Amino acid sequence: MMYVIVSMNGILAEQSKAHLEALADYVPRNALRRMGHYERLGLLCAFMCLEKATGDCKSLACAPERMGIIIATCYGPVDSTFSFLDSALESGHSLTSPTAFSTSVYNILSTTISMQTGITGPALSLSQGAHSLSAAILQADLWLKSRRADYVLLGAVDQYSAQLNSLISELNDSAIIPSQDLALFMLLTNDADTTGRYIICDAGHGLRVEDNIAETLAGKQLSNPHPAPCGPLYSLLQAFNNMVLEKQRCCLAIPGQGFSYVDVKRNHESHKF
Amino acid sequence: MIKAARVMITGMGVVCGRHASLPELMDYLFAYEGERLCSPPTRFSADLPDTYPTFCLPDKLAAELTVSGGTLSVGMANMAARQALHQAGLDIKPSRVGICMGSSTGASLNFSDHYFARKQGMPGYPHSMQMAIRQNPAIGLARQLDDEMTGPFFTITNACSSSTDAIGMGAALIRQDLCDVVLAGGTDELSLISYLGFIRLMVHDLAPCKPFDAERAGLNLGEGAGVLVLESEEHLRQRGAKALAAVAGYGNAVDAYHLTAPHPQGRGLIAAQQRALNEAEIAGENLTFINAHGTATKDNDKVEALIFKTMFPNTMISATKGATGHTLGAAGAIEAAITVQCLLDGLLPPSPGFINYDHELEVYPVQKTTPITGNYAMSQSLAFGGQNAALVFKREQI
Repeated sequence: MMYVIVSMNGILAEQSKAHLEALADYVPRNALRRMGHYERLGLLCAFMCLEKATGDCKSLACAPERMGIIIATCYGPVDSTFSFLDSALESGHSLTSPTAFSTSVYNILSTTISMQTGITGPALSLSQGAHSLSAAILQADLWLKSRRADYVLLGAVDQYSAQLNSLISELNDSAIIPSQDLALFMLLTNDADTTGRYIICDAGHGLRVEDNIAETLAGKQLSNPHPAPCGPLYSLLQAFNNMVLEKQRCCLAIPGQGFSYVDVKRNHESHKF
Repeated sequence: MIKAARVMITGMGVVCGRHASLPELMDYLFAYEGERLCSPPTRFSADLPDTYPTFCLPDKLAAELTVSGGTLSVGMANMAARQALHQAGLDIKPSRVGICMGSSTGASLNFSDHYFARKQGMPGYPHSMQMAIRQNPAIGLARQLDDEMTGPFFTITNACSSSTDAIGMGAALIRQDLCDVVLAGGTDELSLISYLGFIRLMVHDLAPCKPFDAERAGLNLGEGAGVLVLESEEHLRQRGAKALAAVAGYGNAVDAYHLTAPHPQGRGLIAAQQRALNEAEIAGENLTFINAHGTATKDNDKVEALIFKTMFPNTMISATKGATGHTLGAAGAIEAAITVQCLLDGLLPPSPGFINYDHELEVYPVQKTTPITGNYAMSQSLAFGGQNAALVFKREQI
C-alpha cells in the first residue's frame, strides 16, 4: 500500500457539537434545510478538503466519474436515528417521520457529498466500530490500484450525541463513545504526477487485542491510543498536526474489540500539501 | 482496469424467509404456482391500522440463531457462511481469509426496544443495545467462525446495494492477492425501524409484492443472509477443488441526484452496469439474463425497465423478490446466489408476483421455468442515496 494524501482537513469540536455555520459558504441555504448535523459536519469537512486540493471547492481534482467517495463511521447519523425513534414514541407508529428514516441510513453522507459536489464515481460506506477507518483506507487502496477511481475522497465522521453517550454509559461497556464531533477527510491518489506532503503506507486491523499488542504491532512506534470512534482518528489528527517523526503509526486498541492502525510517513518529494 | 487473477465461486449459502438453504429457495422458485410465503411480522408489534406482509424467518429458527446471545443478523450470516463453506469443502483457516459483509439494519443502531423503555423510565433491554453496538456483521461473523482470523474484515453499509458491493469488494481482495479466500455476502434482520420506515415512505405493499406488474404497489420487506465463498484460482488448484462459477465483473456508481429516488434515466445504474461489463470484457448482448433489483416500487421498476428496454432489449429478465421479499443489505448476495445457481442449472424460474403486463414498462420478467444456454448473467442492486451496483457472473466449472 502506498498512496499520497493530496489534501486533508479535520474538524474536531472543542466541546460536543462543532460550529458549522461556514457550510453556508459552500451550499445553498435551501439545500441545507433538510440536512442533519451529521451530514453537515461531513459535508463541510469534505468541501474544505477539496478546496485545499484545488483552491476551489467547486473544482474536483479529476473528472467526476473518476473520483470515488468512501465514508467510515462508527455510529452514523445518530440524531436522525433518534429523531425517527422519538417520532414513533411521541406521535405513534403510524406517524413516524419518513424524512428522519430516510436520513438515518448510513450512506446518507456519501449521498449528500455526491449530490453537492457532482461526484459520480463509486461510493462506499463502511461501519465497523474501531476498525472503520483502517477498513476505509484499505478499500481506497483497492480502488486506486485497480483504477476504479483516480482519486478517492475518504472521510471518517462521527457526531456527538448526548443520548447515545448516556445510553452507552449506562451499559458499563467498554464501547467507544464519541465525546465530541469528529470529521476527517483526505483526498487520496496514487497518480505518479500528483504530489503531497504525506503518504499512507499501511493500514490494518485484527480481532485479538488481548494478545500482546506491542508484539502484534511489531514494536513500531505507537501514538497514544485514544478511545474514539472510527479507530485511530484522534491519533491521526494529532499525527498530522504534530508530526515530528519520519513515520508514525496511529493505533487504537480496545479490549474485546480488537485493534486497528494506520501508518503515515513524510513524502520528501513534495510540498503541495 | 487491471486484468488480474480470476475470482472463483466455490460455495454458496442462503437463509431467507421460510427457506433455510439455497436448494430450498430454488425448489420453491421452480415449483412456484402462486403460493406466497409471507405474513405479518411476529417478533415485534406495530401499532398500525393495517398489517403488512413480510418474508421473515420462522420464529423457531430465529430463536435458534440467537441462542448464543448474538444478533439475528450475525446468526443468519453464520448459518449461510457455514453452508457455503460446506459446499466449497473448506475448513476456515485464520490467515489470508477475508470477510466482506453488507448490511443495513444489522450494522445500525437497532435497539428501539431498549430506547423506548429507557425514555419511559423503565430498565429496558441492555443486552439488545449491547448487541447492536457490539455485533457488527463482519466482525461478529469472524468471531463466530474463528476468532484467530486476521482479516481483513469489511462491513459495507451502502443500504440496499450493500452485499452486491461486498461481493465486488471481496473479488478485489483476491484479484490483488490480499486474500486467498473471502466470505462475501450480506445479512439483514427485519426490525421495527425498517418496517415502520418503509411503510411511512409509502412504498410497502399491503399485499404480496408484484415486481414489474402493472398493479405493483410497493415492496415487501424480508430478512435473511447470503454468503459466497470466493477463492483465487491458484488456491483452488492447490487444494484440487472445483469452482461453480466466476465473478467476472463488478461496477459501482452513484447517481448524485436524490436522497431516496433513483435518477429517472438511471444514470448511475448505467455507469455501474458498464463498469461491470468492461471488467468482464463482454458486451451487454453476451448476458443470458439479468436478475433485476425489482423491488416492485413504482420508481425502481420504472427506471430498471427503461434501461432493460433501451440497453438490453433481447436479454431475459428475472425478478425474485416476490419469493424473498426485500432483504435490504442481504438482497444483493441472495440474488447473486440465485443468479449463479440459475447459470449452473441452465434454467430460469418464474418471477413470483408478476401477472399483469405494464404497457408503460414494457418488461416481461420470466414467467415460467425457461431453459437458458449462455455463460454470463448480471445481478444488480439499487439503493437509497442513488447507490448502484452490478455484478457479472460467468459459468465456469473448472
